[in-house]
Amino acid sequence: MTYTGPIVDTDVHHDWPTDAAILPYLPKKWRDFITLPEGRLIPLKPAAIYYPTPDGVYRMETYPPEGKPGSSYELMRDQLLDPLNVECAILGYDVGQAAGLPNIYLASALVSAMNDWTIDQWLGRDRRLKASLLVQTQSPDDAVREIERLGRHPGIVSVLLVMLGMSRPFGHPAYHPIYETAAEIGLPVNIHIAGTTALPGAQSVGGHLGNRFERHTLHTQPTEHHLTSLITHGVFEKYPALRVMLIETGISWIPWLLYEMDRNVAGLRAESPWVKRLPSEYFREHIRVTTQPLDVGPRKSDLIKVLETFPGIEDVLCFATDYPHWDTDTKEFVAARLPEHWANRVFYQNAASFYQLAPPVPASLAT
Amino acid sequence: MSADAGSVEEFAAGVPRIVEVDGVEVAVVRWGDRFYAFRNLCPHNRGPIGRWGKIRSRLISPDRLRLDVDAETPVVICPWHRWEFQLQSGRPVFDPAGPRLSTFAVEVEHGRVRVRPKARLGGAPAPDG
Repeated sequence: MTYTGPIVDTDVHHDWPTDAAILPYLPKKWRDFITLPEGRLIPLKPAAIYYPTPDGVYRMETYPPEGKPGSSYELMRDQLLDPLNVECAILGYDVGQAAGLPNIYLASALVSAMNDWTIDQWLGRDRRLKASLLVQTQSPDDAVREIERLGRHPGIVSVLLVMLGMSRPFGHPAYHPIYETAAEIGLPVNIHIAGTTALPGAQSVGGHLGNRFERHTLHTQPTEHHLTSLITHGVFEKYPALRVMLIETGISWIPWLLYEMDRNVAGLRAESPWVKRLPSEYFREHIRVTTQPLDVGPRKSDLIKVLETFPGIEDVLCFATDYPHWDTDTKEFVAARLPEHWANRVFYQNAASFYQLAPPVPASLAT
Repeated sequence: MSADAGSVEEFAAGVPRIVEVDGVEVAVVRWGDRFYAFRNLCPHNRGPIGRWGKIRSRLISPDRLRLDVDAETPVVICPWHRWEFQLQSGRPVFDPAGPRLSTFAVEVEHGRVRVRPKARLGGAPAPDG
């Protein structure tokens, strides 16, 4: 199956060429703070040595002549936006670990600088570019202030949670002010993996992650935990307008997890009396999930068989490339592995509705 | 009719040059004193393996504490999902029975590197998608 219609790419990682690009957007106090005596900047991202891989984490053709992958708009346009007929790309940093720095005051200053930089340097360049608003989660009050500060910008289409600020999954009541504010403004919340597993001492439910192979394979784990937490803490009863996108953990786990939650709710509802409906009903109504990295079985038909055991899943899935990361999915790869009659919803309509995007611009009017 | 890929001197070690052979993009690379040619299309997921792939010796692990290189076996690493293929045979390094990278015969005549037009060995067509 081929798909030639419009695309919303729900997971695109933009970046700055060097950390110095962020400096003008930081208050002087923090500019001075992260500048070492010899003039060099303290790196704003965690060292890659914690989960190294010999060939890096980017598609090798995405390195611009100068700077980092994802830092060149022109390359993104030529490699992603134009060839894939992308109607909208949701920008989400690479991947926003600054939001989880132990110093919450620096983290707040940095995410504000990053958001200002994104609006200033990216959103005006191309009508197809929209962005998620990064917030830190150690201090939800600061996150609320950031959402109120920039959440109504026309280029901001969601709030981005990456880092796990308080070592509690995202349904914990401490995070609820973030959801309350997002729902009031009408912004959905994106939850992107890596927040629980990017830093030294990263944990899975089984303990410390020993290498990138373990970490990459188990990316699904924190996503499952966040989703379970959101539902068991009654977040969607409390904020009926809230919508959440789960990003970059594949999709074949969906039937299993929702089967389990639906099975457990009757017997365990005593400690979650605010859960009024089947978890799968909250899921269908409030949750969307990006397809990348698309799960692959020995035969192409295996994945479809698994997905069809969860009726309505074609209204949940949203296409993503994860550009410029190495474990990218292409349009052709996904189109060949999902039913043809799902294509318009998965590649475009589900995400367009979720992010409340304007209808596609006809080709004859596009510039 | 073989396709001309350039003079021997034009090839830097491990840096592929792309040449079109019967309408197909083929990467030609020098490794040591040998030349190899393979299709610019990864059989895993159609990544541009010739244009952007990385050439290196195969990594081997003789035991738990040693990671070494097998200098006799050059491989190309796909720029997307990091699948590795042996340049000589097109076989995948991890699963030799898996889909192979199409390879081509190379000959050097009068200082010119030429690629024969038909894929050989690997030669397995790329699956769609």
